[in-house]
Amino acid sequence: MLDAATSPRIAATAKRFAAEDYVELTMHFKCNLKCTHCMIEGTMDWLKPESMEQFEQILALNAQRRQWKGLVLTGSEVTLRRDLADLARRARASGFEHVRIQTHGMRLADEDYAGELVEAGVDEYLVSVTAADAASHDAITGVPGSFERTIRGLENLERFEQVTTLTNTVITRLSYRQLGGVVARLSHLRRLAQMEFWNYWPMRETDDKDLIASHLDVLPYLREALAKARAQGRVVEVKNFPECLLGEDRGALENAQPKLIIDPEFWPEFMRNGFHQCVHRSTCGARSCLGLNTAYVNKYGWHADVLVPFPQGE
Amino acid sequence: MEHVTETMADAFKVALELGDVVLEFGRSGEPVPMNGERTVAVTDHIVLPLDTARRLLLSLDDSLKRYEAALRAAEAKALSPAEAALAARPGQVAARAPANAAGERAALLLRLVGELGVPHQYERSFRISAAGLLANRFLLTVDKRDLTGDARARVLGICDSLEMPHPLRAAAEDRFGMAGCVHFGFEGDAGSTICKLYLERAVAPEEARRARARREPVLLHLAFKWEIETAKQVTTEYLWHPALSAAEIEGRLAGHVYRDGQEASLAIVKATLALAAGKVAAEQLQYLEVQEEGNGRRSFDLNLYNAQLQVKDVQPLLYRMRELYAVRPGQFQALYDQIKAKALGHLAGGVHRDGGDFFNLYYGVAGFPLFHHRFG
Repeated sequence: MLDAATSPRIAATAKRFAAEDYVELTMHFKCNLKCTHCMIEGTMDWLKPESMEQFEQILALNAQRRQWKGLVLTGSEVTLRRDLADLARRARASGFEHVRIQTHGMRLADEDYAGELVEAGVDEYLVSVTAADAASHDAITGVPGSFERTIRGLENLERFEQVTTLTNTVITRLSYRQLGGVVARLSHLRRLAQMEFWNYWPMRETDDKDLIASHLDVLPYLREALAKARAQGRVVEVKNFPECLLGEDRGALENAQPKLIIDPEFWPEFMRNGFHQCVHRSTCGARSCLGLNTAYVNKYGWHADVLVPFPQGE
Repeated sequence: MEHVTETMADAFKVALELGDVVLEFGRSGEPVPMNGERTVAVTDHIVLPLDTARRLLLSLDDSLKRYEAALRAAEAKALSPAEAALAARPGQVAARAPANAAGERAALLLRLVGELGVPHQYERSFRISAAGLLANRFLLTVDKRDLTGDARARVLGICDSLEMPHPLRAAAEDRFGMAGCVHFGFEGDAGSTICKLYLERAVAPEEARRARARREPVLLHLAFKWEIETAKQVTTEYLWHPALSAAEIEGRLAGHVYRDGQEASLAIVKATLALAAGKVAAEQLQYLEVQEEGNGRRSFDLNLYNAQLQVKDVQPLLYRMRELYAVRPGQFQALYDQIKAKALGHLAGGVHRDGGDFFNLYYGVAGFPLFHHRFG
């Protein structure tokens, strides 16, 4: 008797923020941190932020079609835009249910500023926390004191009932051992609904900065962090990690992104990553996996010894 | 210019009338509910002599060229990242890592077997030994009765595509008649791709009973194996010892397969056997011994599917294998986490043709359509 394969149990992952409900506008390409893992480092000087005309068009389009629930204002560090509160106000007035900013959160350490943004209608904050302690975070961002200000910013947002916070931690060789520590460090935040873990990609064919960590090294730390975050009631998301390696946590993989309105010159740079490479790519039934990228394969090889294809049509 | 009024147009029409070019501009209205068509309210009707129209055409073309990049960028915003990348910088192709030769060949074999258009079965495995962990291995099984036309030619055609050496092909062709099933095997790792063709006999129950009575094995599989890179080849015999008891299997393992020692490996197999025999009579497990002419291979293959175990049921034994061969824990864990809920298939091991101790674990057999009615 030959038994059919049984599917591994998949940890349930609630999807609170569906990518298709959001549109993302890159409104600013300046930053006051120097994160080692910055994916647009080297392009910030020449990528053009979206114009106010484009901003208005998106608002008008959505007012007419109600295509998206939320608008994400991003770029490099969008809180450096002086008119950010005004943009949020106009977006909410046009009918967007949510306005999110993607930020390092330092300016939110200023209570008045945080209050101004909340009052203007920014109700979701995706904040980058690169490590679990000040020394590590500041070493990654290149700015002493940045960790304390980011944490204080997140804490300031706790005052506002209508606010939801999300965090994003980029997984690199410098940070992967601290993923569980990040979850623990943020455990006091009541408004933190979702923790995201983005596995680093270098936007080129080689890992010139030696930041890519081996998936096999990252895996136990990542899964520990996912378990801890879930235990705290957070939704978890992982990006750019082979789905098959995540085992029962494969439900946490979420590579979908909101519709991104960005200078199209960004895309040739992005495509240099060369995602979707795998020895099993012709036969694997995984639908959302990005596989390996060119720089990863060049550094660590194909991992044919551990990657296992999913059945087609699963 | 003071009497000129600025109007916006989003529709136009061009016509040739009496040797002049006529341009009409206007604004499109809301769609008509009945048919969805839009009407256009014409606001300007301009008649241009042909020469002027020609100059306008050239002038428009020149003007638009200046804004070509901006227009392309505007259009690219509506495209997918890959399409936008191409639109923004035409002709620029994303670099890819050098192709994995083994992966390409695995895909080829899967495709070729799929193109047979018959039900087939897919079973993955890993090998663990002092050489490390190898997991890009699988078997594809086809019932020969499902193959219409010249089954021999169709099967060997697939082997030809995978560069089966001629002498081996001739031997496989010669013995093809024995097969009830054929299995295509694949093992790929860095620098080496081994392909295999197994011919499996349909052993009649009476033959199995006779063999059991005489304490003799029967030939179950004949396998033709070759390494693509070096054209090294070998023929392997799989001998079935029907309906052995647990004690008899242990006796053969200790007295034959592991007769030169390898106590740690023997202990792992015995523990696996005990676990399986606790679920189903050992006589219902299929015990094979494996030999190859011209080398010292002396191994076994114990089919455990009837015990209905999962890979995770033998986790402690797998960890003992990992420690025995000093495989990196993270590497092993990454694989184990993916397969632990799969059905435990069979365990093979013993002394390989290179003289080294090894284990192969097969798991999670999956049937493609219409297969189980034959193999269930």
